[in-house]
Amino acid sequence: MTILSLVRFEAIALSRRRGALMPLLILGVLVLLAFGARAIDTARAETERVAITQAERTRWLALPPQDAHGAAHWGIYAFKPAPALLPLDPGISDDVGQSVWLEAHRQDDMLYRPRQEASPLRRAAAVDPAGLILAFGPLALFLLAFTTVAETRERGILALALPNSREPTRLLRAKVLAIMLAAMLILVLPLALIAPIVAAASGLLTADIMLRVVLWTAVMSTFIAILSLVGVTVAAALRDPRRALGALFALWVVLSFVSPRLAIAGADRADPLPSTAAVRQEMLDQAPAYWSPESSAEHKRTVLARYGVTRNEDLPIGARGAELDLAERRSHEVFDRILGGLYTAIERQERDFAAFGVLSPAIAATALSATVAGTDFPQHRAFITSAEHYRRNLVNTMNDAVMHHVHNHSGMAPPDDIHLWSRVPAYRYVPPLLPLGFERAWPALIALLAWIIASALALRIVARRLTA
Amino acid sequence: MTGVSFSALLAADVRRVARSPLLWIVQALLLASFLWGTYGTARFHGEQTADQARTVQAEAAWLKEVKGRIGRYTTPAPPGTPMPPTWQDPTDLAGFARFLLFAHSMKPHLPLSPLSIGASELSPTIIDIKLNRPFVGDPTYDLLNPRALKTGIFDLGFALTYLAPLAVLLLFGLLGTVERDRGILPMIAAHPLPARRWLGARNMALFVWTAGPILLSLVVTLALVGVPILTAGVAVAILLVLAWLVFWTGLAALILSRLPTAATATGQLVGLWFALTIGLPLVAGLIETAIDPAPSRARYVNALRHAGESVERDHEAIIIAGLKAEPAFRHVARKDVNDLATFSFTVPETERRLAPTYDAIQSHRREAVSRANVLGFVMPPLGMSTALAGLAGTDEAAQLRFEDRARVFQLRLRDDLYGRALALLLHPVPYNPVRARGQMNYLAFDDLPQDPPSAEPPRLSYALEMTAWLMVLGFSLFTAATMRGSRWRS
Repeated sequence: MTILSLVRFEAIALSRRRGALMPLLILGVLVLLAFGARAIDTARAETERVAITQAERTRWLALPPQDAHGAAHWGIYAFKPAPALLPLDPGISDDVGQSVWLEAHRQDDMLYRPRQEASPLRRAAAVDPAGLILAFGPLALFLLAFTTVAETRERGILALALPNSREPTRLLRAKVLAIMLAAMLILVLPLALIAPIVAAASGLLTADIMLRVVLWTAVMSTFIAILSLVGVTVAAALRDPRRALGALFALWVVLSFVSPRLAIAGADRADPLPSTAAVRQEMLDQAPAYWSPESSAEHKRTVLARYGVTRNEDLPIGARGAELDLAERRSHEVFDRILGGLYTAIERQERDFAAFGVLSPAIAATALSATVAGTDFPQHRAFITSAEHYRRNLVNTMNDAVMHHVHNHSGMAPPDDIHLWSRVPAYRYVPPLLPLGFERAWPALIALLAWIIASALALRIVARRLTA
Repeated sequence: MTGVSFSALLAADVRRVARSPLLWIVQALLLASFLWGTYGTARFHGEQTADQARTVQAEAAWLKEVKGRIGRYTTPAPPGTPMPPTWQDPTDLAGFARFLLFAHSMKPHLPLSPLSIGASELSPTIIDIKLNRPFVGDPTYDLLNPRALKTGIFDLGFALTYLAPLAVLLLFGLLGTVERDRGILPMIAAHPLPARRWLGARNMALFVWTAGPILLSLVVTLALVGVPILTAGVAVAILLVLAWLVFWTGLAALILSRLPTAATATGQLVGLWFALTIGLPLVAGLIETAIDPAPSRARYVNALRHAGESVERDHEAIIIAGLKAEPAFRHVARKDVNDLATFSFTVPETERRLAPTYDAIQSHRREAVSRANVLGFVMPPLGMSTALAGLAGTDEAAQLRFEDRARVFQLRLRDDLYGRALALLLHPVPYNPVRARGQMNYLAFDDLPQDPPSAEPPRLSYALEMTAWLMVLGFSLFTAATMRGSRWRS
């Protein structure tokens, strides 16, 4: 029999094992349900985000004439657009803020994290398609692998195949392929087809998004292939079906539940993040919003020296504006160092987490899935950076107005400068294209490839030593 | 049919189960996961406690610095010296309250907090109190790697709620089906022995060897991280875990009563675990969202900005109305109303305009907590995790109580400082640079209201209710299993 005939045979046999297929089918339904729920939530949130972003812009443009620095304090709220493939894999989206207040003096934290805002019930039920596949796919596949191998033994098919040295390997390969095909058809393919349709309905379908869907499908298919190989290998290697069942069950718990938590704990131990209070206090000390008399005197000396004068009255610009501008620009360096350092440390932890993919294919696939879906930390940081650039431009523009309205030291927008507010453009965020994030995810890619090679080799070895 | 007695069967089964390497491997792995989870949570809470200590130190340093600065403002100003900016002068009540005040509310952890990380990974244990910010301000949080939150920090609560049942299911699924899988069940059935008695002894032996080591591991783990063991909280935690194990073993006994093969038993048990842990919460969560969606925070931001804009527009009218409302202030001129007194009128007005949106969010949060408490009785994993977090003082209800305390503290600060600002309208302290450079209308730094850190008490009542419920469920399942297993099945 050719391998294709064997796969066909196994696939037909699988379709008849309704009991064994049931967990996979139930998981498939839950995956679609989770996708639908996420897609509806995302669409609702996006409609609201667009409306409120517009309202913020209108409010900004309608600010009455006032101290330009006061306008910088009023600032603008920026809302992060949902990534197009968020319903597929939200990645870290539930655990990062969705909006940020862009105001003078401070780089504020992003607020309103969905998980923090969710009810206890929603937190308990916070599942997503990728998460379900990664956490429970192994169990469904292992049960399928166990059943199909055990049945082959019980019916004596294995004993018939053994005398021909090539047959056991082909037989096991056919089982792997049949299980893989079933899982892909039930778990991955429907999502790969629906996700671009949902993205198109939101007007977000681009070549980049299509490529992401293709890559996501490839990552999940590889993950499923690895688990099918592992499941069949273990089920075939252990002659006692009870031992095989126990081993597969334990493998599922370790690979899907224990290893990811171990990996993130390991990444944190290896390169711990600074404490929250320390970070906030450091920013408060080094970039205070309201400076002390000593800092104020130092600012004045610096400004006067910069313009080569000794008195405020001789400055070609407004002294207050110059001081505001000086302090603001100095705070940028502080924020870049302290917050930038924190974000870089998180990215290092992300890279370490990806490297822990050697412990479990679930870790490697988790890291890669979020990267290709555009929902990992580097892509969230891209929004933070973009919003912060916008804030700096807004505050600098306002400080510039205060500095240059020398005739009006209050910095009040004069009546002939009705376009001051509109000099700050509307905030628009364009998500980065695909390569972003891969530089930190490549260890996951290597780990996933290593897993598939190792599991294929293991199957080959087990097939050669197979006994009925 | 009498045959071997139950006690003899039980003794034999207890010996047989104890000889299984699988039992000890599973129990060792569980102990390791308990230790890891407990140490991880204790470490995490230790870091939060250290952050609180750092904040207390920062507050003390701030007060010292403020007092140290007073000297600069209490001495006469040389002629021609400009009035100091309001944000630098601690003797200026308005400047002090608006720019210098540095106050926090803190939620210390309970000694039993290593039991469950609960909401402590999501919600802050330190709230920065700002006088003029509407309500207690933004939902801040600790800066953790979001991946850790997504994956879930491995804590004892997770190990007890999710891993311990899996261990029970594996042990029952494999050790309770040996005879069936090895084809010796007909031989046993040939003896004058009721199936019910044989199954009862088997289940009891498995329960003893499952629950005993788990409870022991729990006590040892808590003791190792320094939790005082002889407390009501720990006693309730032990009872709760015991009830949890009774429930799951009851469920396993019910499945085993049909004398299935290991594959069938494990498949069915894992299916039940999956349904209770993921399926039911997922469906219930979808229903909750459809029936009672959470008020959107984006809308709150919009309302906040709208309220800020409208209060700014009505600024003068609000202040004049505020002055008119109090007979003592009727003769105070608008120009004499200082900055802080202005806030004493505009901030409550902002909160009043924002209240419908804010109250909707807060009442939804409270209703969601109450609903989860009730649904915990339908979805035992949800109930178990809520009960453990309640005992650890890390549940959402404790967080809400902490936020309420922070709000009370904010209002006490407002009463004190706004009250002083309004009193200045009637008895102003005129600025006199010849006497002192500062405004000299505030020096009562030591009289500022305080909010000493106080831990929220553990929620024993919910844990006890859940314990009783799980016991009832567990014993009902055992009863059903006994009735179902009344005959031998091949």
